[in-house]
Amino acid sequence: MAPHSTTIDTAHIKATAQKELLDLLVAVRGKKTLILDKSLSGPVGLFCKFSALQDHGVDKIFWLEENVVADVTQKNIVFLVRCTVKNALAIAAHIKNNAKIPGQQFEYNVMFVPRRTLVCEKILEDEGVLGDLTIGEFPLHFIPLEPDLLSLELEDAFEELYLRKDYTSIFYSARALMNIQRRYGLFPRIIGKGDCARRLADALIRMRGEEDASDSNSSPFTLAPSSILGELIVVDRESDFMTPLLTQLTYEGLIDETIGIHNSKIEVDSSLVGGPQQSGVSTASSSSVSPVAASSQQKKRPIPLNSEDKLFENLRDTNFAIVGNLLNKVARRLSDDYEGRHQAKTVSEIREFVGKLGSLQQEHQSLRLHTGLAEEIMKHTRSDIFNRILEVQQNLAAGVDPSSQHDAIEELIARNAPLESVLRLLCIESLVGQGLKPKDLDNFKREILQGYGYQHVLTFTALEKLQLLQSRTSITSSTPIRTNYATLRKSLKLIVDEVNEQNPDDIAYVYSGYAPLSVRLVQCVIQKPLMVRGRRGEDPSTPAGTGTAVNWAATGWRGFEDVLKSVKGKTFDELQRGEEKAVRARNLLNGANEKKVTVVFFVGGCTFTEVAALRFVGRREEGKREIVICTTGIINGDRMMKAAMEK
Amino acid sequence: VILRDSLAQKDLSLKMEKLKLASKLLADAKEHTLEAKALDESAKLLHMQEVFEKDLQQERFVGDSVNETIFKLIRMGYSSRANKVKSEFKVPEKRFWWLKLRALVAKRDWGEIEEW
Repeated sequence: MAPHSTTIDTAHIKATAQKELLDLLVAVRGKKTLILDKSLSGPVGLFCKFSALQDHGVDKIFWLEENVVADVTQKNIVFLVRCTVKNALAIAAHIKNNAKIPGQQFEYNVMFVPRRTLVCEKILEDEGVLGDLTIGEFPLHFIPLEPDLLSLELEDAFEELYLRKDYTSIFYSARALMNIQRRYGLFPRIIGKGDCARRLADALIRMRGEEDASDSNSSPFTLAPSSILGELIVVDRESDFMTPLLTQLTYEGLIDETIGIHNSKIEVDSSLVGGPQQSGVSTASSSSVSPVAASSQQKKRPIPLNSEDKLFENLRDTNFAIVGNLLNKVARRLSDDYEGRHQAKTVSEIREFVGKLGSLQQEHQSLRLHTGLAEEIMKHTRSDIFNRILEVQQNLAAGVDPSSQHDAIEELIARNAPLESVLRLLCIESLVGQGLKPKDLDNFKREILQGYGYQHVLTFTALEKLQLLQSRTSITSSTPIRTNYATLRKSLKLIVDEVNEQNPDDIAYVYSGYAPLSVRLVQCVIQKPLMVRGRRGEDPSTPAGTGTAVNWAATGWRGFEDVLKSVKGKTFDELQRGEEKAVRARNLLNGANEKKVTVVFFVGGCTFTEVAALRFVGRREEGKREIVICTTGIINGDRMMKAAMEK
Repeated sequence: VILRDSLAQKDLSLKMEKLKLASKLLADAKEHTLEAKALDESAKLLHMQEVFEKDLQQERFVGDSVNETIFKLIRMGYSSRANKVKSEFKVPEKRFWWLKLRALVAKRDWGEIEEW
């Protein structure tokens, strides 16, 4: 795939974030010790290198932790933390502890990400340290993981939103989207599905209203509907829990499932990488700086995974089944290239070769990394348990009678398969079949409690609250509408029997046969003719554009209202209008027929497979629009289960 | 329920305050019979594990699940004790076999496998 050139300038977001952080640091005079919230180190590392921090007077970096490190080398201490109650308490403890050190005066600066809140200030006040502090804000919102993928990197957003019903992350999301609107103009249309999505849209519209009211002097130009942005599609995780629960089968997805990708970095044994040559990519996060972390992580090395690695960019979204072949091809080509030196006769040919050598070596390096990774994953995917799990998943998703799968699930429990996987299977069954039979559910509960410990009584309560795992009786009595996969399977063609993994013709390839509902919904909006034909039972892969000229931009959800009824949550479709004059002026300036950017926002996290599927859709739509994906964080089924699980 | 449960959680880690736990359970045993039963069982399990630890000295049991307990017992060769746990917690045959098989393999006791 060609490198994406996005109209939304993600590099700009990165640069702004770095500049703002450094400005804040410079504002504190002299050398300083930076104390960092652990959950922030990854995100910060994504846009700011450690060396840059050093250049701006940061002397040492510590984690903010319970056991306080007393460091007296610098007088200035800067805290950079997420605004949570726990962090505020930790700061207070730290300051009190430092006060015991005789003969030292400290100056404290606290920077809350992304904003200061009353609660945190109150805590600091109650702890009696508010007077010693200077409090600031560091409005960190979207972090571009890729040019077409923005994330808030709020890892707990899923748990907060659906388990604890804490909607702060929606507020942050709205703020972040507002920043985009401020720069590029309003989304002419906001389309969405799901209750949390509705909240987000409301927040956005309200913020726009506030903006209009407060900045009457600023030109109305900035808040007119944008000519660059097409529409904003908000998808609520809640309306499609199933997709992340299935095992992701793209390369990047599988890496995430087996090793875990955090802040687009993975940690692997250094043996996989082969030597420490990768010095060019100095890991900006402070994991190598903090003395405590360095000693314990000697063997694990963080490796950044992003599109700078050309090989990875080609592999990431492909189905894992063909990764081996691709790697093989690349290896062949590389060795051919190396062989090229024997043919080099003239001096200029040799010089040419030497010039290429650098890039060859780099490619070689990344090839070695990915071969190693692929092998590692193979070990996992070849295992008996993995295949059992996959089989049960596919059967459940395809709507095979669930009771036929119970034996397999019981066997997995008895064989001590990871609890996350077992729970994922049960949740899938519950989602597909509108709950389990009470008798079966009780049976599984017993099995799991005995197999994994009684503390998981709480896990089940949490899962029930998430409406992931329920018994059939409790569903019929209480819940309003739930996503009904049984009907959607037909109407949206979620299951595709014949998938071409080599040369995908439908998004279903990312799960080898199951098309993520969330992405299907997006397709409903932007690929109407295709979806309509799919519903009529025709082959959706026949080339589009034969007489199905539906008016694209203006239709929103139209044509799919009945389908949406069987998806959980509210449906909405809002238009944002501005002054006629401004719109026309803007159109004149930018040219109206440019291709538009469609922003897809996942509330509550999205998976790498969904990203892959959307990229696939985007490639199909090339010329008409670009897709930029935004999310509160990257999620997978294990992470969902961990949110509910009792430790 | 959740609050009480999590309270029980802390008691668990504070080792053996089982009585407290059990009494709490009875309090909310109206609708949550399954959960109540489960916590009763867990108290029972802790008790048994305590006994095992005393009897067998070299292994830690407290905090393990039923399956892990059985697994350890078989691996150490105390199959009668394992059977007792099995009957006590009504472990289904199938699961017990899996456990036994895994444990015997871990112990490399091929003779036992063939015999049985």
